[in-house]
Amino acid sequence: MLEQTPQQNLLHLFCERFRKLNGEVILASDTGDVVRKVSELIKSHGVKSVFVSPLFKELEDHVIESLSKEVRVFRMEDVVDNPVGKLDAVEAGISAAAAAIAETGTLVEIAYDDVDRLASSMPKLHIMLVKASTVVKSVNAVAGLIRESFKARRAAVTLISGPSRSGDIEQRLVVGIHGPHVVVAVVLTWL
Amino acid sequence: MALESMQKIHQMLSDKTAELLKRKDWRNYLRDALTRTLKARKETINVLIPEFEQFRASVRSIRERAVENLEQLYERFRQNCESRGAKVYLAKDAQEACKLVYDIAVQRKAKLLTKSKSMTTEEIELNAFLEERRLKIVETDLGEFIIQLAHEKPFHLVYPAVHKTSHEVAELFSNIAGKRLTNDIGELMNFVRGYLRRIFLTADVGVTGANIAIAETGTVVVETNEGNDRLTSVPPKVHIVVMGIEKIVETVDDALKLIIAHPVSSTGQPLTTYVSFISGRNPMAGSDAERELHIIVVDNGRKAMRQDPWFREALYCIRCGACMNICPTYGAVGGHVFGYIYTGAIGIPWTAFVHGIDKAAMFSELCISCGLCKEICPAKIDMPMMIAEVKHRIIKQAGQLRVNRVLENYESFYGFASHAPWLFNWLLQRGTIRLLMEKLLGVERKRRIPPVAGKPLSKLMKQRTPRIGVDKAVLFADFNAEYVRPDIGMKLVNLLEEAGYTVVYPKQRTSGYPYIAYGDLDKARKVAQYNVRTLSESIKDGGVIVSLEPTATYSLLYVYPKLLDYSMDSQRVAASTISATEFLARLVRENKLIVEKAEAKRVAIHIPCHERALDSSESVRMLLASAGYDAFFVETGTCCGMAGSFGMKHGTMGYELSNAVGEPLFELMKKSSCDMIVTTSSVCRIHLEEGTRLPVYHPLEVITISRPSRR
Repeated sequence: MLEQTPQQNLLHLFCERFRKLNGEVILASDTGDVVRKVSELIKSHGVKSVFVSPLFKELEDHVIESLSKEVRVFRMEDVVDNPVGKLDAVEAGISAAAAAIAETGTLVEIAYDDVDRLASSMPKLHIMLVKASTVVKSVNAVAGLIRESFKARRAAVTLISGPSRSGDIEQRLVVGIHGPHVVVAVVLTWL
Repeated sequence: MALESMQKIHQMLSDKTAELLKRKDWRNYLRDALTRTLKARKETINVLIPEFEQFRASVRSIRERAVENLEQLYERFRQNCESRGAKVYLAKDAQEACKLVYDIAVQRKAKLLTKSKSMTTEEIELNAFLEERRLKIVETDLGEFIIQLAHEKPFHLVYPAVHKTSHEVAELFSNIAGKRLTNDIGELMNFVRGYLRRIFLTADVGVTGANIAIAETGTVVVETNEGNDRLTSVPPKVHIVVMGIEKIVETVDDALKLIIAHPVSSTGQPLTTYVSFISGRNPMAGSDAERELHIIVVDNGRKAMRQDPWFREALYCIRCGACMNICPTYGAVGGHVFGYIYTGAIGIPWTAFVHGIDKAAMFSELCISCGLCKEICPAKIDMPMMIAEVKHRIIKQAGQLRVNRVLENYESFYGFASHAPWLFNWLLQRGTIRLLMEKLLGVERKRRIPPVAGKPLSKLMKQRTPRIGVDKAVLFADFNAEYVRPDIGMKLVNLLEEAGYTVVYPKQRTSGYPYIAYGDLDKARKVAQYNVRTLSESIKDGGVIVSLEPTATYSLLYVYPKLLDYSMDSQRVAASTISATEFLARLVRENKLIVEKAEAKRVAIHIPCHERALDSSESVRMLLASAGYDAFFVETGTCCGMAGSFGMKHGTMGYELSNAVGEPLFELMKKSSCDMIVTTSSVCRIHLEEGTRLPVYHPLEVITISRPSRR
């Protein structure tokens, strides 16, 4: 077997820890693969409508084009009249992570518009694309990224570690309450 | 506010506690829930933070800096928030903070507010304030939502509804659902999702707390597992943050350390599922219309706490609730009795400052001074000493309980009794005498009081011929070895001499720890001064202080320096002190002594609470294992419940509570199929003997140690 690079080890750790938190991980090896796997995901969950936040430039058009053939796709400009109501009605949100943290199984979301935070918190299914090269080891490694994003006048950075959960009844952690019940990290292994 | 008399306060607390002690199933349920959390915490630390002590030190230093620079950090935070369009307000007290929220809501013509879990809004009693003024506010954290429906106060800082079983929750939810819900937790959560979703969509204002705030970027950090903070803060036009002023740290890096410390220490998760860093108010779908962020920074006693050298470090609290999970008496009675709004150990100083000492007095007696809160605290807050000072302030106003005064004077009794041991021991066996002691003094008659020895250790030491060695060992014996079991003291002395030490036994008083436990700090300080003076005199030319009793060792190491303002002598004494078993284990490792093989037996080791701070229990296991015993720890992770003289007291707030705390440990001990129990604490020993009916020994009673050359 080939020796793993340090970055591959980090990715491996991320997958393991994210799954431990009831997150799902899908590896995609090129643009076609991403498009195919995201479409399959959407189909397998029986989803009829999705909201798509800004994705990585090289992928965005392809993903949207393919999804549009199967389901109703909403972008920000489609929801300006009633963002909260429309986001409540869509069945899945797709967005891009700025990074992932291996040790804690975490996706890093940077949002400059709150509609993107609705997309990752209201539907039951949330799909987040993440570049393999942006997986870092530990939480303290994202300090620079957070500081950088706050150079903008306003921003919200959210660290997301799996689907929403609660341990408030009998202190037994049960997955799936206000936020998504299923969170899928689609790792772009070539980026 | 003026305090009631101590007797009256004690009676009220006893009555409330007695009610809960009747509910054994409920207590087991609570203890199990807390134990699960402690287990998860341990597992996560092993995986994620192997260097946990270093991590704790860094958390403490972040909090120290935050409190030290509180004023500057607030100013910097305010400027950075305002440059991002947020409004920042400083509220001096609860009333002012509530009024600010109310005014903002009214100005925006709000009818419905949502709120994600926040202890600061509990502290200022925001819900009641708004509801009295006809504004509807709905809790969106599942636990808080349950509590709101039940019209109760939070039971725990992190798990407000941990005391509610799924059956009780199903009952509450069925009432608002208009149909019967089962106690399936998944089904209950689904119901809440649907029910609260409608409220999230229509709320005019969302209120959140802040787990942390960051000065350098003007950011508030909110952590939730449910994602309810996001649905509270994002959809409404107005987001109001209510936070304590002590929450502001300097940098993003500081905050990133704390977001690990919170979940690891509280639920044992590596990270809370959602950690939101919010700087300014984002637009919604490109529009800024009416989107506002208001940040209300609350003082409410915090600056006073900061000024008070005894309580300053209470502000280091990161609200993880671990001190509740580990607390022996919290685990038996929970946060409705052991708390006002802030619960558990840290709840005592916080209540005293933000809600008043009269409120703190209502539950302070539940602290039995085991010290485990300090040992588990991620910011290493010295809660035990802080609580002792709260008790001190309470008894100055409300007086001291008679039974506490009696038990504090145990040394004088035994000193007196040792002049006529036969008479004392004979009297102790008379039922009528014990009945009178119970009625008049409050000492439980069912509890065995150890008989006084024929000759105290000090007398035996004077009568023997000392051997002169190369190095010097100073013995600190404490009560048990001086008056009850001088044979154990003499055995230690002989071993030290065998290992080549000159042993001296300077005049000393017993540790005085009961004074700490009952808040008599002036008397505790006098004992500390006395012992530090004589001990430091004994080690002026060097030497090691070998201490037999864990509580005494703990006092020499941690309590005396604090009581004596870290005087040079107290620090020198602390630096020279070591527990007897740890010292013996070291001598064995260095081959200066060897442990002789004993009959193979199964030995369950009980770790006394103060030994956890000393980290010396492993030495006990090592000594027993060297003798060929199959030695293993049996523990619940918390106190056995005896807590020095606490378990000697008659009634609920003594004997009965100590037994309720001890039960789970007794069960474990009995199930361990051990032949005997070994513990270094003389008072845990009494409790374990009575609770398990198994033989209990001090380690020195069951091992034989000698010098290698003699073999």
